[in-house]
Amino acid sequence: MIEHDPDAEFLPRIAAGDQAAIRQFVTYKLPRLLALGVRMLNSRAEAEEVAQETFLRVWKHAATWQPNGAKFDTWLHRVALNLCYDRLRSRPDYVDDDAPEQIDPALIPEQRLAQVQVSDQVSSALALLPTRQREALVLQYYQEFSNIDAAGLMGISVDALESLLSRARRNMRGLLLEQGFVRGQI
Amino acid sequence: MTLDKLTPEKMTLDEEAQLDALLASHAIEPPSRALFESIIASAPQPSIGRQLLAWLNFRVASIGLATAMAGALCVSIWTTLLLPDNADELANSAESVDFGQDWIG
Repeated sequence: MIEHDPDAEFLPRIAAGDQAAIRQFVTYKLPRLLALGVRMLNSRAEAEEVAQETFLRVWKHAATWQPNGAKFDTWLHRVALNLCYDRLRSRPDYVDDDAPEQIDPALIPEQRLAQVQVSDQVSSALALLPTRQREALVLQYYQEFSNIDAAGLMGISVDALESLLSRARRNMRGLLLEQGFVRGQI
Repeated sequence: MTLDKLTPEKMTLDEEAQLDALLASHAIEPPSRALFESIIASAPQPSIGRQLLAWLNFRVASIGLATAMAGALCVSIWTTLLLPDNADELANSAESVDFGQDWIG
């Protein structure tokens, strides 16, 4: 039994072509999905394409969507993440992880660690995380899913999620230190 | 500087908080208007049947409202015509007051 899902109430109206409901839904969901895509793909253009494709899936399934124990927002994120993974897998440098337990900053090309603004440095560091660690961090920290929901979304146990989060944070700290942040700033 | 600031636990907590602050600085620019509108353009449109029904509902409501207003106007004109020309003056005149027979003699 899942708790009340406010998103599910939009679906019949979306399916009926209610333009007010559609605008409200996109206004609410698009920034979240775009942020997810940008952080997972480190490319705004690709993230925008993923967001568009995700909404196409919503339009397609709005009339027939069934909760099956999951909230609509969880389903929406699963769709967006699958689309992100499709793109990541097509990249030549994609590594099917959980590969390296710890990243050796010495192995990272220097130009990828260019000294830019803090936000860009965080972005660069995020992009260098193993994909599953990045996914865990993005879902739990940025998309503000609970550990239980994030683990469910990723299809892993809560313990496994916490392990991924711990490694992700350790790696982020190492990468940011390598980028010039001194201990004490992190 | 207090002693507890030097403990490893406190340093770890500080580091975690500082990492959180750095992570929080990674802001994503909001979506562009063009992206928003292109997504809206791809959304389902109301079906022709629904649009027709909405149009019919609007027409019926409009006709109903116009009929009610016209009816009210007709009743107003009709009741005005029924009254005598000097109705207001008669109402205030002593001639129109029936004092009754009991008052006489």
